[in-house]
Amino acid sequence: MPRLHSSVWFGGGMIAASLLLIIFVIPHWVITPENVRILVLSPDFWPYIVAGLMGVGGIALLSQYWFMLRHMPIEEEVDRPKMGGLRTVLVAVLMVIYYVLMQYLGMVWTSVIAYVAFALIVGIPRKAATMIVAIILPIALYAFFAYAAGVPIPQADFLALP
Amino acid sequence: MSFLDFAPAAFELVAQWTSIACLFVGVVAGVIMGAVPGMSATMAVALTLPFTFALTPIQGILLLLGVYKGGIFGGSIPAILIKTPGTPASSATVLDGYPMAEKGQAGKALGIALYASCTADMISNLSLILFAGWLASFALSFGPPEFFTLILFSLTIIAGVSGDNLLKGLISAAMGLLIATVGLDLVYGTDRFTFGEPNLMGGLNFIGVLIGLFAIPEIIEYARKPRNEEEKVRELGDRHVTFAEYKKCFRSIIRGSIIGVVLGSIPGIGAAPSAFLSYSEARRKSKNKNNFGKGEIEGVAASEAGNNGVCGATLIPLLALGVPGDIITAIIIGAFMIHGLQPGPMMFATNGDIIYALFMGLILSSIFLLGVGSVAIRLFRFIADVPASLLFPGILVLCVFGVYAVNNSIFDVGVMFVTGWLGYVMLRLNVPAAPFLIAFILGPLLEDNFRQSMLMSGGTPDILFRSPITWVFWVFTAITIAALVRAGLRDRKDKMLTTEEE
Repeated sequence: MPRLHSSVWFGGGMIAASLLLIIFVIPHWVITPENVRILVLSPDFWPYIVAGLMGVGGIALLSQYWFMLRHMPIEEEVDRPKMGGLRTVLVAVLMVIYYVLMQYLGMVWTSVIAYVAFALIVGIPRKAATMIVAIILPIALYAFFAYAAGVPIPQADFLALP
Repeated sequence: MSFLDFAPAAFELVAQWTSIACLFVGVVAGVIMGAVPGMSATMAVALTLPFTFALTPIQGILLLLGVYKGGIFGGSIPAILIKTPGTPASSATVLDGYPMAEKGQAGKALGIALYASCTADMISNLSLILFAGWLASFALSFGPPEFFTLILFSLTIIAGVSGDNLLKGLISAAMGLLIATVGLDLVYGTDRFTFGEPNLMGGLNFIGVLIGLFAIPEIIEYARKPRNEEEKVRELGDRHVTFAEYKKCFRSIIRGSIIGVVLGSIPGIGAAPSAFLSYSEARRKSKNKNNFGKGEIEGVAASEAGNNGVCGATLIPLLALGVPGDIITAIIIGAFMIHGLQPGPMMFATNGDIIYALFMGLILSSIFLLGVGSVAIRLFRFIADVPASLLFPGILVLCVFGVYAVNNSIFDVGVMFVTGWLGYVMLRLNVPAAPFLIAFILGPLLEDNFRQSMLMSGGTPDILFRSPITWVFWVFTAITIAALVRAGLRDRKDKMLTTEEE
């Protein structure tokens, strides 16, 4: 499959997003009262304008590509990393797990796990230092936010910090 | 009320040891974070923001301003020693700073960078003190139509100069405006894009969006492409900058400071273009122009004066008009909002003591920067040795704690992750994130002023052209778009010619 210029991806994406907003999202998810007398004061006026701008911008970007950039070579990334795509996907999965798990394990212990997991994804050249920082950093942040800032940091039932 | 009316209360605010300590800690943290390769001044200020919740407004804002100033200078240290600018603003410093380091004069380059930074910083602060109040009193006569056209102009210029493609910048700003509409409608109180989720009724959390856009994409990009951690750090070598050398550079420093002040006070331009303009002007006017790029001390001084000259000046539109000039001041406006303050002309009347206390703190920050910078230069080896494999997972954890702490909401952490991936896609597609964030912040203000104008006029758009001020901003907007389109067309033409030649 030939590679596409970033303007094509972005321009096409914006046109699709604009159409989706105008046809489906704004009519369904922007509540407009019936007593609006001046059109420009309606709650959906501004979202329609902005969605329209996105669509026009997308068309302009595609036109710019077609008339000006089409014949220019796509800049290839120099020094493409090996397994970069896999690591990116793993970070996405890590973030989902981080988000879900902190509601059950609490923020401190989930952060310890997330720190180690992230280090594993990128490779751990310093195992001992990684483990020490993975434990100390979340506990230090907990101490600051819980005691200095008075923020109730979510904790696990089974191993709650004082 | 004038400066003299507020001066005693302002002095009382800033003269407390906690305020001074916050400013000092901010400068130290900023220099360290700015000097760490891979961190930027923007990320440093964004990550510090959650730590200001527990502080009073003046302490919190002084802490952030210290990080900002320290971060901009700190970025020059790796630029000179390892040819890796800590911030984009330090890119021009590499041109002569690194060749000086190669010649064994790294200490001298860092020394003149520090002196130029502090001089420019002081001049920038003085310009802020002189002009912000004057501009604010002028802006008091602005009504909703004037503010609408001013914000529109600011957004246009920010969208235009943030990336290499005006259209991408404008679309990015439109996306920010759209995201800003999430929540309850300002006039009717009805739901907009809340999808039945109560957490969305108050709109998206600013800190979550901010950290998501500017820290998370860097973390993802590091995971995709881990960096080589064995950067070669240069020895400091000859460390002493003589008075004669400073005097030789003085004209370039003053010129660079003025360039920084002028460009910094225009929303959207920022420190990097100022540094490059200051550098090119210094080269044009210098007797040693042939030595520029080969390790000329005047080149380092000019670049650093240019990028630090914007620091105080970017606060002029922020404090006087309530319009952030760049990403860092956009973050600082967030700190004001968190503490229930709304920067703008009215703040000079309602919270003048805080404004003037900030001015006093800024002057003090230049002195702190001189001391902290001198020590940081000697300790850089330890700062640069922080391995990225330990740093980036730490930043991830810090982001999660910081964003949660704003509203004690895990939902906000989810918002941060989602906007982080949006920011990453934008990064990969070369779409600038700055217009998105600034439009997200200014969006409610833009819409509110538009709707107020329409209420005043009964729905007719003539009111948007009612005064000379609105006309000035319309004309400025048109000129900006025309200039950016012209520059873009010229750039494309040059690229096409180069491609054809190849």
